[in-house]
Amino acid sequence: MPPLRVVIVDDHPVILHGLRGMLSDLEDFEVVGAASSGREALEMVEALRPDVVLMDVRLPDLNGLEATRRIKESMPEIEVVLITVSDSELYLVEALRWGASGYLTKDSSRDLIADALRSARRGGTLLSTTLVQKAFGALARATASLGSPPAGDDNGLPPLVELTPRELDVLRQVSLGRSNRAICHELSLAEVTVKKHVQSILGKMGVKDRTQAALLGVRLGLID
Amino acid sequence: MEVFDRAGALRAFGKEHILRATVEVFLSEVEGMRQKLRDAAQGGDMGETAHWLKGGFAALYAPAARDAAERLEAAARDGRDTSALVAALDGEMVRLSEFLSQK
Repeated sequence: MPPLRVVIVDDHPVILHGLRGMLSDLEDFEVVGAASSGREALEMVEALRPDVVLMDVRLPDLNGLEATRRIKESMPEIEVVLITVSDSELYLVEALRWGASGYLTKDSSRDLIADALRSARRGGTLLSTTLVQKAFGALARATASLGSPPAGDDNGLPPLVELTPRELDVLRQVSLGRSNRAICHELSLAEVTVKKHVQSILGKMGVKDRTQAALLGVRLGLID
Repeated sequence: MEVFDRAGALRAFGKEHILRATVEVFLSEVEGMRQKLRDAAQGGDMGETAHWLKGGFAALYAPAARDAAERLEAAARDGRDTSALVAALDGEMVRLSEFLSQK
């Protein structure tokens, strides 16, 4: 079988170098390119047509989830395995939704990363156990924090959460893991306004933190 | 907390020479990383910067620096004062750099 051709995408030079070193040392891998931003990755993937892309989730100019969506939309034969810091379980569902074939943490071993890439080429999906556990844990906490349903509301339907259009904008940004400061730049709002919106969202949703809000927002269909 | 988890890093990177080469990249980049942290403290996006640094330290198996970056990221996200945490993270980067330079 020909070597598995990989493009690596990460904006951190230490990680990029480490991943390149790990994979280049394996006989059945050929690292054909390395990019440090989402847009650069798209251009590189388009030009080099690798078998698999190993991509960071948070990237400058175009995040890894959106880059994954675009790759799978225009080049569905190319597989994408996403790699993230261990507490970013929030993006797991979205990664799978956009067609990622794997979701790993940045401290994964070379063997696990290599297995994930090989599995992706075979059409499989390999997920970090830690991230899956954390994602389900966060979802369970978000569900528990809803408390008992109102009297008479025993139909099993999700609770009614009404957010204003601006709150929904903020919730979408929160779901992308952005800080208040980043959100205020993105939405052209004052930071204090963003904070108020976040507090209002947490209150209306009955959750304690931003992760729970984002997960519950996805669960309720308020955000994609 | 441990400055560098050498056993974990070696397991992750698979071979000594790959780990050593990655450490060399860190050592060549660390001043730029410290500058990026200072720039963030002067009005940049501290949450993003701390998250970026955290990813690097996680991959390098540097638990103390990773933890410091994580605490800084959380404080920035919550809008708390970050000055002491910036200094703490910078100190961890120096400590890690010195530790790895001796090896």
